[in-house]
Amino acid sequence: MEGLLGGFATVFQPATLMYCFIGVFLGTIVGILPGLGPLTTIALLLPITYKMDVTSAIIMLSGIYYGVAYGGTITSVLMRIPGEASSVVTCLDGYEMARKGRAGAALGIAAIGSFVAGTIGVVAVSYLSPPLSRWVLAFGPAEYAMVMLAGLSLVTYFSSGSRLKALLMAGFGLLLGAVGSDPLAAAPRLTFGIFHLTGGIDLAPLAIGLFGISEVLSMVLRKKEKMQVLAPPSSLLGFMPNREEARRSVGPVARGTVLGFIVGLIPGGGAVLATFLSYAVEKKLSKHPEQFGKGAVEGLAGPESANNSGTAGAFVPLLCMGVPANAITALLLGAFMIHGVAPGPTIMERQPELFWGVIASMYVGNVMLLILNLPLVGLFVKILDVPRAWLAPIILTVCLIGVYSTNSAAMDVLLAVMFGVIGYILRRYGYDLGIVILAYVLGVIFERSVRQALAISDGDLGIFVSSPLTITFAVITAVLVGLAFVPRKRAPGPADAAIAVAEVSQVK
Amino acid sequence: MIRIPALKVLAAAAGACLFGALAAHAADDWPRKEITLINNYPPGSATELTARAIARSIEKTIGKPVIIKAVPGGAGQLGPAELARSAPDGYTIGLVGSSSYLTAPHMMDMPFDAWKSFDLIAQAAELRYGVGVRKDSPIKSVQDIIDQSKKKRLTYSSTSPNNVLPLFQMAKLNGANLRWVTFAGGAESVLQAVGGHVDLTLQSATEMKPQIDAGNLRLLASTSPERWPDYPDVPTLRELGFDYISFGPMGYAFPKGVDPKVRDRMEKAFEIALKDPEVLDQLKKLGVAPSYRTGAEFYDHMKKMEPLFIQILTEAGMKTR
Repeated sequence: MEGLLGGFATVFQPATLMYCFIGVFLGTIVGILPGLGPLTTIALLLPITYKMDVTSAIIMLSGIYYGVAYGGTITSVLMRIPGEASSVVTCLDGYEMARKGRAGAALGIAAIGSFVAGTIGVVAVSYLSPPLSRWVLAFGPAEYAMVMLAGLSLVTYFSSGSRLKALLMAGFGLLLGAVGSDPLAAAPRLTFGIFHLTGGIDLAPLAIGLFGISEVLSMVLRKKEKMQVLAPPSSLLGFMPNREEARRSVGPVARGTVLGFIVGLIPGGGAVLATFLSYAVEKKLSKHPEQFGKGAVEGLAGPESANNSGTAGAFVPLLCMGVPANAITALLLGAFMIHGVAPGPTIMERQPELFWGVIASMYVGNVMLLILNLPLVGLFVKILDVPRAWLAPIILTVCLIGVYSTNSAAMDVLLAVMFGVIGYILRRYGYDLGIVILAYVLGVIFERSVRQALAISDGDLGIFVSSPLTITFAVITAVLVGLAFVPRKRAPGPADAAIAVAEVSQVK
Repeated sequence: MIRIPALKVLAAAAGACLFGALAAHAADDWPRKEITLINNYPPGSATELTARAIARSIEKTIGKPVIIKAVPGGAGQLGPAELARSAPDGYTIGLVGSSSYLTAPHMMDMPFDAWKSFDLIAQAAELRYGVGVRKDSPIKSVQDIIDQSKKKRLTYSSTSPNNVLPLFQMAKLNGANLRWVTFAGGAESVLQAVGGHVDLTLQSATEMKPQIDAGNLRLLASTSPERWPDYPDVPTLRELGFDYISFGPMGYAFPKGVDPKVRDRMEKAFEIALKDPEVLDQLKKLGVAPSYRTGAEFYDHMKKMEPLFIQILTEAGMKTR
């Protein structure tokens, strides 16, 4: 508790407060702009934060991460275009509510549900992190190796679209992570004789290329079309749900919060998976499952809460173990390392002001988002009017400057452009680029852990199933791999419908 | 026939003049921007905390920020490898420990030759090392390591080939059966022993102290020539009759070919830093021994130690290259 109070003292310094605001504000905006997601934005801002104070930098980048879930809701409800993957499910019932003239109530419920879930998620992070970081001692090389394996299997299994494509992307990410010097013996590999690559591929050119530059390319090549926006309410009162809607939201918000947080904890989980699961749960529990997809309040309230607590949950493995649960926290891990902070069990003792500052900033950020979002929805929607002809060159310039400024190396710019083209092609054919980044970051830890474990066991593979933890992770992996061979049921679930929506909006 | 080479010479001479002028100019207004210091171990490690303390003082002296960039891995050799391939423009320096000169080249394929790749600035400090076990370990003494490992192979965690020398010697000369597991960072390495994933850990005082103080780790012996000031009751290996030490001087260098004037100014900045009471106080808290040598003295020191190390490495069966 004392730590958390100290954290608030950090956040309420004017400069820190400002960075927190910039973070959530940017998060909302990129949440609204379709395509431009938190990954691109955090990748872009990463080099800019190099010279900032570490606490402010992490607070700002985290603000983007949890702010996006709010912004994404707005376009999902008003335009049936998910601004962000974690709002895809909201397109189903949120948009239908808006069409029935309940746009205000839909946005209101989503914002309040997000606020409740975000805040409860943060409270859970602050209470769970200290005991969890002691539990981390149970993780030796074998446990780390197996949790990575289970995490990668989870990501692959739950990815939208083809599992084969997801598996390919995981392999591609692992391969990229292996470029450079051997992590134990320093021997160069996969460098194609290029000197620059003996240091490996840096996070900045890879992330900015895959997400930033490929986004610019898609923008340019996308057809122009007039977007249809349903009108948001003009007064604050318009956001109030009626009594019936409020009553029906309570249960889904509570369940979504708990479910989202737990899913967020799992490597490979995170906000997107949480929304799909929450939607499925609400539909199963509902007395009127036939209303789902036609404007059911539960189908909006549950997932909208789950994506916010899922975001909070993903911070636990990041802060306590230094293990990213998804692509965004993988980037945040990169930001920590660049700033000379190693997240892990010792972070609470060594850098309490940073640890608690980030957590306190999430409380404050959630309040800011609530205040920011409801009254300003009309204004935010206007952002969509910015012509792409202006947006694309600005983003491209920021991308290239960002990449070059990291190492002042022209080779990095070349790499970024190359990854931009690769990213564009992969995106075009429906490959999930988030998996590439996650596998790239996890792969290095995975390889090191496997080799350390084998050094301990003298080459005996039995070490990977030698403790309750490793066995658990091994079973999870085996089950997921087994399930992957079972063909998917063709009864269209919520995920399929939502994916269809997402794909339609992507093609546009 | 003669005119072309003459032209070439002229051009070369003009080029050299121009380059010389530029170089002189570069040295005069150095530093124009921040300096990057490559450290070979992750954030929070003993070397990183030491570099951070010294960097604060150097910033005051040269008037530009010093940014620490962590390049961990490869048993501490990836950092110097990156330094070796950096431009010698005076804006990149890095930690070059004795392992890059004395141990690593004899144990692994190195992407650089430390003797030829650097312009040394100075030696700043020496790390203190020790060997420890988790609190409930059946290993109570150094003799226990030898006795118990004869029944069952013991594993130990450590970051650099320099640290582990004593345990290699113990294995070779006393018949102990020990296996080294490399970790990229010291804190991580120590936690593996606390968590019971390896039997022993051999790390620096900075990294072991928090866990010893918390009662999670027992220090069996100092592997430095002296006892640790914080734990004066714990003997050194040497006092226990094992004449082996971990050798941990921390040198800093530019990539080869930097302007000598720039190198001299940086050397001066290090000398000032090692007299700065604030730096000395911080190093004391970290359990790191301040120990200044000029760049030339550090190089000579390494050269002097080389035959001894080759002998030890050969005896311990570590010399494979």
